[in-house]
Amino acid sequence: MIKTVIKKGAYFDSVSLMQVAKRLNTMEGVLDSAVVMATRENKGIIKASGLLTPEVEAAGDSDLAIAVSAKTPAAAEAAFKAADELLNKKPAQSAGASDRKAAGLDDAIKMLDGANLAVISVAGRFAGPLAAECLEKNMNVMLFSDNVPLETELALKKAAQKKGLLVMGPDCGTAIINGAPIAFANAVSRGNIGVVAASGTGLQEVTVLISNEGAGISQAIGTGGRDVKLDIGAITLIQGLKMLAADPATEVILIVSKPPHEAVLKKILAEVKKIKKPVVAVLLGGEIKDKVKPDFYAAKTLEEAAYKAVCLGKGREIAKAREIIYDTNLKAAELAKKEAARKKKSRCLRGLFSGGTFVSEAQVILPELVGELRSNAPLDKKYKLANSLELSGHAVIDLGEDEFTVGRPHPMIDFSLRNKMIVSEARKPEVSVLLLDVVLGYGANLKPLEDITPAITEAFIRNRELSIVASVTGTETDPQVRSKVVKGLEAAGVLVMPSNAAACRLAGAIIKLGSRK
Amino acid sequence: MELISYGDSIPEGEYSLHSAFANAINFSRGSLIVSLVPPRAGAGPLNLVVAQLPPGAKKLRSTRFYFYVDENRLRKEPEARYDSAVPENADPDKVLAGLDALKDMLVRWAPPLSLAFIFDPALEKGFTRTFERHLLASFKKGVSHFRAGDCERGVKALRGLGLGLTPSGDDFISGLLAGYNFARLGMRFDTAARIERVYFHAGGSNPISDSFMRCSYEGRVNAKVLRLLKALSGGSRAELAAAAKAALASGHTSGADFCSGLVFALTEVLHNRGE
Repeated sequence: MIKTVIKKGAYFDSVSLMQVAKRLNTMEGVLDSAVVMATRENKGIIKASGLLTPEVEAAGDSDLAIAVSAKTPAAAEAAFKAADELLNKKPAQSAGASDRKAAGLDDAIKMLDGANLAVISVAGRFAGPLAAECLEKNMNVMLFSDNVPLETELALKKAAQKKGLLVMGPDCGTAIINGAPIAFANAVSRGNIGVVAASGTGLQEVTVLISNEGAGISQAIGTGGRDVKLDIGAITLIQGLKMLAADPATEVILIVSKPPHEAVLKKILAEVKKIKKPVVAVLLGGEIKDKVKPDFYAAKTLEEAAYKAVCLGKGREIAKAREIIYDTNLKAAELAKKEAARKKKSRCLRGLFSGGTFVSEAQVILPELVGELRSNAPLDKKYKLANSLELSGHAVIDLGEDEFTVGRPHPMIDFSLRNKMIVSEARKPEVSVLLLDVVLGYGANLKPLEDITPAITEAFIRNRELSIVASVTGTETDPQVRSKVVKGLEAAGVLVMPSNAAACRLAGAIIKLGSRK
Repeated sequence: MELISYGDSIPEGEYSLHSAFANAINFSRGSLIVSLVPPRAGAGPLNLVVAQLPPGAKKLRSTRFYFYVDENRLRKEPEARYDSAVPENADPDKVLAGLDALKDMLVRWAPPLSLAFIFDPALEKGFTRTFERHLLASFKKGVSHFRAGDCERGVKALRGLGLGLTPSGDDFISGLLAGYNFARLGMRFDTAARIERVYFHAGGSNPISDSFMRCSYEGRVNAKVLRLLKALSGGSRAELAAAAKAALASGHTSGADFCSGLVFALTEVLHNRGE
């Protein structure tokens, strides 16, 4: 049997194509195969080889044709799966780094002479000493590890500060340094906006929104969530501010954080005052009442902060940020009317998030629209969910919290737990709206559509009146390609909005309009 | 972002993202592709070599004095400009002697399924599957037209043919054009008519192939090929071997296919020089 797949307008480097061709030819049950650009001449060869199908015939010069002659349909499917895996494989990094693994820190430094940043992702109890060793060797540190004791964090950050080095973390999952995305980060454009963030998903969301709006990022420094607590005193955040203030490529600075301790906030704002560049700050759930300086702009949401930074970066009036948000609000209002009209009555909203900061942002936006909102990660403790697995009323949960992630990968990588919850929540008659985030980029699930679509389809079968609203945090140059994911989700019936804030507003509006019936 | 070198054939204008690989981010403007590459990929007539690839780059603009990669401004420093012209004043006898050695290296080091089989039929054994055998037959047919002096049918048979992002046939044609241009500009042979005949019928597979071919047509080559041509013009055997290895390491079969075209063209011109 002959089967073919056409990848329209897909360009893969020759080495990848040859690897795929080689792999297919050695697979059991595959009699013959061709992995070529579908030029007229190659189609001639495919035809002569008996591999031509109407799909190949219709393909163009810029399309990749994969043709397989296999003994069984299963063998053909296995071949296409293998081809997909190889083509979607992340490119090998730095030619200087060979396949050889470093035997230790010294060996790693020898292998990559001149390295000045170490990313540490080992069990928390080993991370501290290793980070200290890196600092001794004059390397900045990104501590991906969590469960690092608070006193260790403080000691590391003080030591780093003395040497003019940075300790990003612990529990720092995102940074973009000199254009290189580190850990969970997106392929964003480079530009004149510098970000310092005590929140990984928050950093991803603002950098993506900035990039998608046509501006770019100079540097994005993560600090780890505990940095803004009283015990640490925002050491890294303030160092980051100083570095961005001194960086000639940075013209606008954006601060992203959950509300810091009051004393810490004062320290941060004192530093902001010294900066001779415009500064935007979003403290999700917090407020800055002081008039810090004339070119300081506070924002309530990540979306507002990102768009304000874009306006400043592009020399536009800051009020233009509202216009961008207003446009998405118009779209949301129309969609909400349509959705509310097809329901008997809208009752409860359930937000199932993989990004913790999105849960905070939802709690900033949704209560105005839906009223009381409970969470396993509440901004106000009195709204703490009694049981994260038994949701009631309007609720938003962070599936990245320890209670869900022990013994399993982070929900940005492994969708299985959330998929189960999508279906189980949809089954509940009181649930009218599901609110989701889909985070793309390096480190995140490489096949989000394949993984989430079956659960969404089942959810709609179980609950005919259900609305599913989602935001997709990603860019066109991310490995998953944002537009492809958006298109796939929309085809499955999901209402996709450009930001988490916009998705929250749409979900809230559906509930608000539908509850009036 | 640090600009290490930039090609001398990059027209001014706005370019948009075409494709991105581990070793290149390609930008297009019409049918022309300009590539942002890391140092290991090397300089080229249409390459901007930067210290580190910016993974999210979306736009490129070339002005008189600057390149803009998104919002990063990179000054066109005169000393960073890569001169991609084929070498001049080469001695045909030395080149001919080097060609024999290069053929041997090509046969020994070319990856399987490349067009290097034209110099050693034993390499045809690498084409095993039905599809590959049909491909081999088409390659042989195309090359036989060139051997018979029928450039037009040869190009028509080979263009867009074969494996890889830039099909092997296109790489071979690029090599041919570079070879004929080296003969014309470097050794003063009158190959202009052949160049025009080949280029007239070439191209059309995809913008990446087309851009490589256009450079070869204009006598512009990348740094690996330039090194190879210089080594052919009188470098030591060791230098020729090092240059050949580097040139063959482009893409999967692309380097070998290009070199096959280059060697084929130079052999043809130099062997027929008395006629």
